[in-house]
Amino acid sequence: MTDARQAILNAVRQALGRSASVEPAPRDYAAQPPPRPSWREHGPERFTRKLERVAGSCERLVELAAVPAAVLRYLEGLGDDRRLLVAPDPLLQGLEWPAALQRSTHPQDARRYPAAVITAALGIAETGTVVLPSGPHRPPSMQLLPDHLIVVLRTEDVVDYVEDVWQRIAAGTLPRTVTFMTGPSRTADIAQTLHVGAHGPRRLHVLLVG
Amino acid sequence: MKSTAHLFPEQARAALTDENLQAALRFAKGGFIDKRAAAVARYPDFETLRERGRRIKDHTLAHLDVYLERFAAAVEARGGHVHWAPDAAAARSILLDICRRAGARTVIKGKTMVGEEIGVNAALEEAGLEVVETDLGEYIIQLAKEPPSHIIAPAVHKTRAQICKLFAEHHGSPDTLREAPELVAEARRVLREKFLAADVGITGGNFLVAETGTVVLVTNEGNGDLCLTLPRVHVVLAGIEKLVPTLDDAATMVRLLVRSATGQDISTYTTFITGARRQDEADGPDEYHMVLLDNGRSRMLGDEFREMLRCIRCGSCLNHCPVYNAVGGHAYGWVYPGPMGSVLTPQIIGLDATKDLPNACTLNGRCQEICPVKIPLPDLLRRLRALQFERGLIRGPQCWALRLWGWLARRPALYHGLTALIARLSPRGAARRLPLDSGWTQSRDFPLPQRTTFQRAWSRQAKEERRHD
Ligand code: SF4
Repeated sequence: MTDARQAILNAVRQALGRSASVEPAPRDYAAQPPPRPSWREHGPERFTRKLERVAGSCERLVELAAVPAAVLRYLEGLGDDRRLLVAPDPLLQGLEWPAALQRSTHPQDARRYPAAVITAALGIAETGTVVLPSGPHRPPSMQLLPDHLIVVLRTEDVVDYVEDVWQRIAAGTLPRTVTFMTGPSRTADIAQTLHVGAHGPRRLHVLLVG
Repeated sequence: MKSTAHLFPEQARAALTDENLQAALRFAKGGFIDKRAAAVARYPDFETLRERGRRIKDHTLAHLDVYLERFAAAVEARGGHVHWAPDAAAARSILLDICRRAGARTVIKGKTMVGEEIGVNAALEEAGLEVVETDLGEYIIQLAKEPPSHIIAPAVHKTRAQICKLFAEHHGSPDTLREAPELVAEARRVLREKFLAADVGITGGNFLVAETGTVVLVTNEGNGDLCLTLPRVHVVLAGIEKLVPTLDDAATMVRLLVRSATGQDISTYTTFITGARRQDEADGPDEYHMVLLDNGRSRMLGDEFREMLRCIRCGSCLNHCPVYNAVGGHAYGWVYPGPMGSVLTPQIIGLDATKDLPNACTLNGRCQEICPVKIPLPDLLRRLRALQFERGLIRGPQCWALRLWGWLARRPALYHGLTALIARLSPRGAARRLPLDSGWTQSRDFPLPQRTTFQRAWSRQAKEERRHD
C-alpha cells in the first residue's frame, strides 16, 4: 500500500517536473470573494422563499415553546399516527411535549417511525438550506429514514452564504458528516421529470423560531 | 467495463434508428439545456465564477502532490484508511479486500463514475457479493444490464414505458404503463430493504478538500447519504484529480457543478464527510475507507491533456453536443460519453482502440462555451486527431488526402490559384454524391463552392468597407 502511495506521488511529481514536494504558492484567486447572489430581504425571509421554491415548507414561530404544538398540528394534518422521533438534543428534550405523542429518541426507531423532529445547527439564506452536523444530538439516520422530517431552526442561526457555515463550524471541530439539506429528496431519473420522495424524506418542514 | 469504443461507427448508426432511444433523447435534451441556461441567467456573474473555478482547479493540479498528501494525512488523522490505486485492477482488489475483511455479503452503491471506470460491480459480483445500485437511474440500468448513457443521468435513454416493463419483470408489479410517482415509490420500497440489510456502502466523491480531509458528496435522492450512514463499512472511490484546497473553494465548485448539471442552486443533499465515526456518535459506519485512483491521471497531468483534469463531471458538454444528442451515450462504447468522454477515453484505454471518438465532433465549440471549468474540449480533440495522424493511426485515402492538403496549404499562392480554379469550374448547388466521401453524402448533401473563394470575397468586402468609411 505504501508502495502504491509512493508510486502515485512520484508519478504526480514527475508530471509536475520536480522530485520533492514544494509548498504551494498562495491561492491568488482567493484575494477576491467569489461572485455570489445578493438580496435585499432579511436572511430568514430569503431562506423561506428559497426553501419553498424547492418544495420544502416553512412555518414561523415566535418562541421555542411553540414547537411541540406545531409538530402535533403537522402530524394531525397527516392522519392518526402519533409516533414521533425526537432527536436526543437537549434543546428538544427540554420542551414540554403533548401526551398525545408517542415519542422515541432511539435511532433504531427511524426505520419504523413516520416522522422525526431534529434541530439544525444553521440555515443558509443563499439557498434555503438547513445545516445538519452529525453528532450525539443529531444521529443522521433520523434525518434520512422517516417520511417526514421536521427541522427546528432559530432565526439567529441563519447565515447568508455557504462559506459562512465554515466560520461557525471551525475546521478543527468538523464532525463525521455535515449535511446541507435543501428541500425533500427528489429524482429526475424517470423520463427527466422531477418527483419528490426518492430515498430520503418525502417532505421537509422547517419550523423557523424567533 | 469492457470498451466497445472501436465500434463507434456501427453503434452510432444503430442508435440513429433506435426509436426508443431517439424518443428519450428528444425528451431530455431541451430540459437540460433550458434548466442550465435559466440558472446561469439568475446568477450575478457566472463568467467570473467559471474563471474562478478554472483557477482553483489549475492551482490544485499544479500542486497536486502536496494537496494529495495533506488530504490523506487529514483523513488518517480522523480515523479513516486511505488506499492508493495506481490502476483499475489495483482499485478492484482493494475493494474486494475491504469487503472480504468485513465479511460482507451485500454491497450498496451510490452513483460513482469512477466505479464504472474500474468495473467494480462485475468484480464484486464475481467474488460472490450482491451489489445493488441505489441511485434510481443506476438502479434502472442495473436491472436492464446496461452501462450508463450519461454521466449524471445514467438512464436518460430509457422511456417510462421501458422502465415500467423492467420493474414488472423484477419486482413482480403490474405490467401496465404506470405514472412516474408510482414507480419512484416502488423503487423506494424495494431499495429501502436493501439499504437496511447491506454490509458495505460505496459512494463516489465530487470534491476532496485537502485542508480538512473532507469528501464532498452531491446528490438529490438521499441515496448517497443512506449508503454512508447505514452499512457497517463506508468506502469512497475517487480520482486523484478531485482535490480542491479548502472548504471555501469547494463552495465555489459546488455552485458551478449544480448549475451546470441540473440547473439547481444547490443539490438537495450536499454532504461533507470528514473521517470515521466519532466515539460519541450513535450511528454511522464502524469503518471508513478512502480509495484514491490514478488510472492514467498522473500521465495526463504531465502531458498536453492536463486541462482535462479540471473536469468536474457535470455532464453539460454532453447535453450541448449535437453528436451526443443524435446518438446517445452508448454509441461511445465506454464509461464517459460525449465531448469529455472523447477526450478522456483515449487517455485511459488508449488511442488505438478509440480512434473514431476524437472525430465524432463537429468542432462547433458549444461544449467549450458552457464548460464550467473552461476546458477547451475542441482543442483537445484536435490535438488527439493530430496525435492519431502522427502515430500513423490514420491510413488509406484519408491519410493521403490530408497529406496532400497539408502540402498545398503550405504553398499559399498555389493554394489560392488552385482553389479559385476549382471554384470557377465546379457546378453550382449541392452534391448528392461525392467521390471518396460517401460517408458525408449518405445522410446529407454537400454544398458546392460559390463562384469565388473565401479569401477573394473577404478582400473584396474589406475594400468596399474602406471605400464607405
Ligand atoms: S468537460 Fe466541462 S462540461 Fe464536460 S463534464 Fe467536464 S466539466 Fe462538465
